[in-house]
Amino acid sequence: MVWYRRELPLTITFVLGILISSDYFLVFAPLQKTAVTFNDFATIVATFALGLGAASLTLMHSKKIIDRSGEWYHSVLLVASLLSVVAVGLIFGVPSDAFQFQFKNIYSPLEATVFSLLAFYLLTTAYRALRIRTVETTVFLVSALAVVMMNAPVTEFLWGGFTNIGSWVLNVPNTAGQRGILIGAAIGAVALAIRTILGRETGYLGGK
Amino acid sequence: MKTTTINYLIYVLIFLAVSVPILVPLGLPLVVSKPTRDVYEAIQSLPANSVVVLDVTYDPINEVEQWPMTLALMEHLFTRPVKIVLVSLVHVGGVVYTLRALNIVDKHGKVYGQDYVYLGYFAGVEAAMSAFVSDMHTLAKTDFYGTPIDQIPMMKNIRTGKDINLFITLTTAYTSSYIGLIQAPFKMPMAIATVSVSIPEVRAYYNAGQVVGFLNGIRGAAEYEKLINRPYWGLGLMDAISVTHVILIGFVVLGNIQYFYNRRKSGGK
Repeated sequence: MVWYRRELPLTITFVLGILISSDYFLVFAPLQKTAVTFNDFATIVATFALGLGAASLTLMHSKKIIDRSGEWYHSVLLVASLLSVVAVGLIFGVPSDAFQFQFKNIYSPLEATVFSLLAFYLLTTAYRALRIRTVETTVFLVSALAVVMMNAPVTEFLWGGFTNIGSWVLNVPNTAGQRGILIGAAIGAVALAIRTILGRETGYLGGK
Repeated sequence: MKTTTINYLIYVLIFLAVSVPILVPLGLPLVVSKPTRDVYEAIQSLPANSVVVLDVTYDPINEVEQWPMTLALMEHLFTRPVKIVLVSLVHVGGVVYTLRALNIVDKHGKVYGQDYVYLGYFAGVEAAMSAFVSDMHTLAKTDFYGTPIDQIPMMKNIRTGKDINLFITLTTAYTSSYIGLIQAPFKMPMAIATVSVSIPEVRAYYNAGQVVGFLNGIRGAAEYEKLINRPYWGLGLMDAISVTHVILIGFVVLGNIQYFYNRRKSGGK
């Protein structure tokens, strides 16, 4: 592999990794200023990545439409929707009624419809899966019901204890588990960052 | 009863449980929980001219839960003598909801540029969060409407995380990033208004004192609407939530009765 495909990205990663990490721990004005600039670079790159993603999506689906491959008519819908949103946004602006109409009356109802189907599936799944089969499933069932009862305002008026039990489940076993996961994930992230900065982790270069 | 018949029965009941209470409100009681009250108190106790950032950052998939919170929080903030910085740091959908909410809520005479400002959406998620609290003026050269940020009077003294007195995020994810990149470095008071499914994670930070309070999905929105005495969507949806939860509990009990009945019938196998 030529140097600019391996050594150059590794060097950039090392220098920027050290620089941005140091800014978190040291109070040194020139360092802070440089770190802020590179942070802004990252947001600019991410913004370009959005455009790149849209362009790549359009090209990929346009090819599918031209070749009439697979369910190409879905691609027609995707490209047409994408272009219409971009066109309305560019011509009339994001605050315009036309852009807001697309979002409020087409996109939002579609997303909400798909997401609301979850309620039906969740309830049928709960009916079939939440059974007292073993000690573990009993603990799971009792915990789930305690939290469900806590979240349903009407149950509080039947018996105030539902809220106390639900709160205990969330505050004690849940918090203990969450903290374990969060601290474990954080230590893992630190280890990954150190490996990446030192060039031991090169997956982002393409897995070689 | 066949599984498909029960499934259809559940579908019909859920449909009725959600739609009927919305069309004919039942007026079921609602108690305001402590985390919601803590968010309210955090805003109420801010001294005059404090800086509050409201990060509206969710997509339509979470609109049902987070839109009522957006209206309630914004409505409350506009009644307080504070400076409001609006921004969207994770999802681009926040732009649409922020603009829509600004058209709806009563601004109580607050003037754009002097009392509130909207900086728009910044891509990059964690990079955007970090850049935002490091220096807003280098990240956002202009506000959402194209006015140079240096020409906006209220932004003159608002530059980094040190200048923020309360950060409220209406996020659906990245809770750990908000804590790690925004709250922890500046010891900044932070409130989170999120979907119910994210609450177990948020509660860990709330119990640790890193989050001053949180709003729990539609229920949190409804409680907040009750606190500010301004009913929007949240209170209207609460009856549906109550009835649906009761049906869920009923079916879980029914499922277990059926399970034990079948087991006894088959000789405990």
